[in-house]
Amino acid sequence: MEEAKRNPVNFEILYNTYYEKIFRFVYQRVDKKEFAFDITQQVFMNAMLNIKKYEYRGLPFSSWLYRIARNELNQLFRKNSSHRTINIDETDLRYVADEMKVDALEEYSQKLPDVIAELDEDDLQLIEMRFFEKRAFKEIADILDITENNAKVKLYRVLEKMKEAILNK
Amino acid sequence: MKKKVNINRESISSEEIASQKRFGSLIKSYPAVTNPYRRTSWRTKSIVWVAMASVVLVYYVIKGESSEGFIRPPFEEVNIATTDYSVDASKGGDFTYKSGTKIVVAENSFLDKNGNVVKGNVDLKYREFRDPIDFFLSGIPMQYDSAGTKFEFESAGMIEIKAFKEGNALTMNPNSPVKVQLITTGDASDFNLYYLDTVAGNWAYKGKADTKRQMNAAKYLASVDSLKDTGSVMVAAKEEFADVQVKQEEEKLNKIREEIAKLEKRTPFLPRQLDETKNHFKIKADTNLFPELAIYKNIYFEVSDENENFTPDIYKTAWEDPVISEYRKGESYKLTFRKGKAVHAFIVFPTLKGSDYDNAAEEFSGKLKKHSQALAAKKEDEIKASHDFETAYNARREPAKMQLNQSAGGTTQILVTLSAFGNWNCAFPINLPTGASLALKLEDIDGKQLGEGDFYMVDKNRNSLFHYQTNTLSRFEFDPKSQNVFWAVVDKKMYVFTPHDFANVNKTAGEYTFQLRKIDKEIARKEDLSEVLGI
Repeated sequence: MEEAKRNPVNFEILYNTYYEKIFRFVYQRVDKKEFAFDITQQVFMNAMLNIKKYEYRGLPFSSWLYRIARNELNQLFRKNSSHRTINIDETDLRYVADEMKVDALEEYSQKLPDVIAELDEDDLQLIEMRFFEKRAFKEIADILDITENNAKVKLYRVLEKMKEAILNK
Repeated sequence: MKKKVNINRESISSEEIASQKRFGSLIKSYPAVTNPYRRTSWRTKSIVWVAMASVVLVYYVIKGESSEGFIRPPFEEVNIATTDYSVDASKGGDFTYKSGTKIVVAENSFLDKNGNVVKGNVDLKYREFRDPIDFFLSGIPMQYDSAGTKFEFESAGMIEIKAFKEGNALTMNPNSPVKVQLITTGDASDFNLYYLDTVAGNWAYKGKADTKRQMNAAKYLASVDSLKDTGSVMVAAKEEFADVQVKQEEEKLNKIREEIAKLEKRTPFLPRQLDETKNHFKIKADTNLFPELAIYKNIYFEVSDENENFTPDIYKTAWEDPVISEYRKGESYKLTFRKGKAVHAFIVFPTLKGSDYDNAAEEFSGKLKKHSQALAAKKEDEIKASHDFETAYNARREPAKMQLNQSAGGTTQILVTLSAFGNWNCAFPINLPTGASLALKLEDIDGKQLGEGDFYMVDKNRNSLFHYQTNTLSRFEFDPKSQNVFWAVVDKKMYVFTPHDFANVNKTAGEYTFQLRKIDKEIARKEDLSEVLGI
């Protein structure tokens, strides 16, 4: 880290270590992999440009990179919302439905994609990070720059909102 | 606005992700900051930020354009020609290239530079590169950088497909991609797909090749060949490749073999002369079981000295009919006596006595000679019949095998859904050959050192083109067990080092000079190159 701060050429180790993680974070949120590769490259460029600002004070470097990626994506989606894509594995939907503690699991699983697609970006990020990317609350909190407890509370409020939306469908 | 949702999108492998790492590109785009970024006036900061933003902007702009400067065909006028197709973009169409490759163009496959779907007629240009000479003439690099490790490609086939409307290059509509069914000989099931990224100047890994190969026929053929080794070829012939002639030859061969078996069983046998001082029995042998004995009358079975348990008391018992069985073929038999639970078996020799023996002995040599001649003749017939059968069998098998090969038994169909126009390669990364290592110097046959240029080698066991720069020849390796050909292109002239030249190389010399022969023949076609290189 300190070497990378002194000379960007030394950033390569960090680049190689975190490349796949960042790519998958980006690719989870866009449609085309070529586009995701481009954005990933830009994330690392931003990281290199701002590496001197990073100091470890309880925030893991990976979470710092994820924040940069999230910011990069948010800027992109503000310019063109059509770039935003939600990528779901069907098995993950059952986890979401299960977490909502509902009886008609199958029925809920089928309606979830539509409900998820209608969530605003902040709520969507919580669902994605918790259920599709299987992140711990601590990591979610680091990325979103909120407390762990806050992350839990927010997530369960989103689930309640989704449950209500399904019942109204 | 409702967001797009993909359910169960195909996952992407770690390898594919790793193949896209471009730290080199990143560092090239990184701004050279001469002063440390410290507190400066807002004006200086603004200038720095604008400069950085410009660098980033330029990075994106450059990335959007394609650069093919690293594709360098060695000859301006000799290259693999494209085949042109005209397609109605709204309707799509199927096209079959001369190799059998099928190009399937869907409706609305083409986008213009603004991302709009193209209507009307589109010019599709397609060509294939199959062998090292194709690779050489194309000038397309066959080297692959995989996360910093360099490999050579062994290719099952490379294609180039481009689309134009009124001279303007088109891009592929990702919602309606073009598909290619590339036909290649051999088994390409372990190969990968690569796309030539002309911006990055490298091949990009695109996943495992989706191949289709008819293995049943190939497996059957392999099993037929293995049956042949065990002598059961007739079973195989009946089941698959038999036709009328093959069956006839097979029946003829079988008949001859049966006759030989019968003849061998009737090999003339001369009983011994009875030693009347030894114990013996007079028992009628079953002529069906022992035809070699049937020709003799009054056979006595003399008890062999091998029997340790024989006693003359055996004559005192009225035994059930004794049973004769063969003991040592052509020599001795076993005689078994039973009565109730009592069983005795003895080794015996068939013998004749007196005039019976004299007459038999006199006739025997004639009979043996006659029999030997008959057997020899039958064996000759067997050899001929076997040859006739093999000929008929192979004559039927080879066309069948080729037919199966052509109908995808021995070929592979590589199914590619293209994500872009350009060059695609079904290939496998391999290392440079090894075996013999030399510090190489290159001269022409007059002893004049060759200058800077491009140097190539083909190992005839691989469908690869190995490309060397001058400074990599200080440790040149090749497989001495293969047939290799090496050539140089220096100042637009070609020089060659043939397989015959390779055979004379002192592989343990350490330092060695290749003297390459200059090619004076004009290279006007691929065939000219094949001729001078011998590949």
